[in-house]
Amino acid sequence: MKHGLTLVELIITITLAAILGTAAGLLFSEHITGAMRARDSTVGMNLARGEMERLDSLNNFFATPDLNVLCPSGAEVVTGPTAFSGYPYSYTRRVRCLEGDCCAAGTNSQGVKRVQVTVTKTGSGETVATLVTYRTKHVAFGS
Amino acid sequence: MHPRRAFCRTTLVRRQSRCGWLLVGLIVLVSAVILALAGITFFLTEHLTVTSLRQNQTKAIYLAQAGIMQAIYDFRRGTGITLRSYKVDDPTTTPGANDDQFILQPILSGNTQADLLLMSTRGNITVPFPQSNFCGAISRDRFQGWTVRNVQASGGTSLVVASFKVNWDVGTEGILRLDLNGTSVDWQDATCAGFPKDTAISLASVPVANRTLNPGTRWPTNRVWFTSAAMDSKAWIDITFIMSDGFSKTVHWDSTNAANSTADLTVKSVGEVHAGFFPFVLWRRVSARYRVCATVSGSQCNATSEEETQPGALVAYQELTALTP
Repeated sequence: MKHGLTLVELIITITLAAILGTAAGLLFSEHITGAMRARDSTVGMNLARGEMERLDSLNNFFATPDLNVLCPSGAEVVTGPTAFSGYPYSYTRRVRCLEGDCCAAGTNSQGVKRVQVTVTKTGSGETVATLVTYRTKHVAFGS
Repeated sequence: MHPRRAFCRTTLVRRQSRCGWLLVGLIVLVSAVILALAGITFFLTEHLTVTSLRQNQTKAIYLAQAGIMQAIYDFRRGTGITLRSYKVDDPTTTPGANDDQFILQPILSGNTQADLLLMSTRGNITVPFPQSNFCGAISRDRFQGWTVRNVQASGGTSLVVASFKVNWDVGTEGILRLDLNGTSVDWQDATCAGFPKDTAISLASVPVANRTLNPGTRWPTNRVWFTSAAMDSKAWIDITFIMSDGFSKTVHWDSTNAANSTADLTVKSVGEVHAGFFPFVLWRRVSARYRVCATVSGSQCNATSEEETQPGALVAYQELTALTP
């Protein structure tokens, strides 16, 4: 005659399985969350970098609205969030005059702008990457 | 005795054996699961660390770029470059220990004297000097109109010239004399034979004070004398100053294309990031060569104010090798 597990054995087995399963589930969940966060960070940072390089390539302190500040105060101009085409992310650009005069075009006045690009997840608005740099008036990139 | 108990007792040995294997299997299973979970946890942690590291590396390079821009801004507004740490959101204050920041490196830990020495040939350069009684009644040429400047702000380091050399495209003329910061002789070849081109000539005989540039100091008039009057036909002339720390700066003059004449200073900046998934500090270091008067030359670039206010350009930009250790 063949016998199955006793009730006690079954309860112990189910309990152990539940404990292990819960722990495993939590860890897998964390892993998936972490992996997605890492992906967001990586993709978001690359997109932020792309936007930063685009701003550098404009090579003009004044004549592009992308680098404008409020004049004459030099106060911050916030643009966005603007969706990246083909990605579930958006970017927000913040430009303000950090020091000097960022509005007058004459070469006798000097100024430096603070440029910040923040990439967020479209929908949730969660920040995944932020980059900050400066731009100085009358300084071009390249000879 | 209850029939069931009797049955259990009679089959006890066989059931113990099966239960034992079950226990072994369970232990193996649990061990495998624990190992797998530990591995996943380790992998996840490492993955996030690497991601955070890459994020901060990217942040740091743009902070370093901000340092370059701050230095050029300080130069352009006439205050000179100050080598110190700057808080990224408020460069007028000293950053706290946990603030993201950029550092304009002090000379002793990265920059050289030559970096902050601005030698310019974009002003009014003249070469001919048709007659002279210097070293005999022979026509000599002298190269003048090039300027030298220490671009550091007050409180910075003095720059000391130890030796110099001059080079040009073709010809075997010699170098007779050097005048620094004026028209008086500082060094001369006593034999009048002339030193060969591209050969370092020591200025040890010149008083240190006469070859020291204090912070913010500019020498508007400097001259190099040659043995012949044929120097005005040269395609190019290079002057190199070798500083007391051994590093050198070369200024290039192009006789036909003024745009190729140089007036460069070098700025090195470190971007330092403190925040991240894990509490480690990360930095990256960049070097940029800034050319004053990038779009003009001649009379439009022969004064301090013109060097500062005429449009400039970053003509070279590179990351230096020393990354976060």
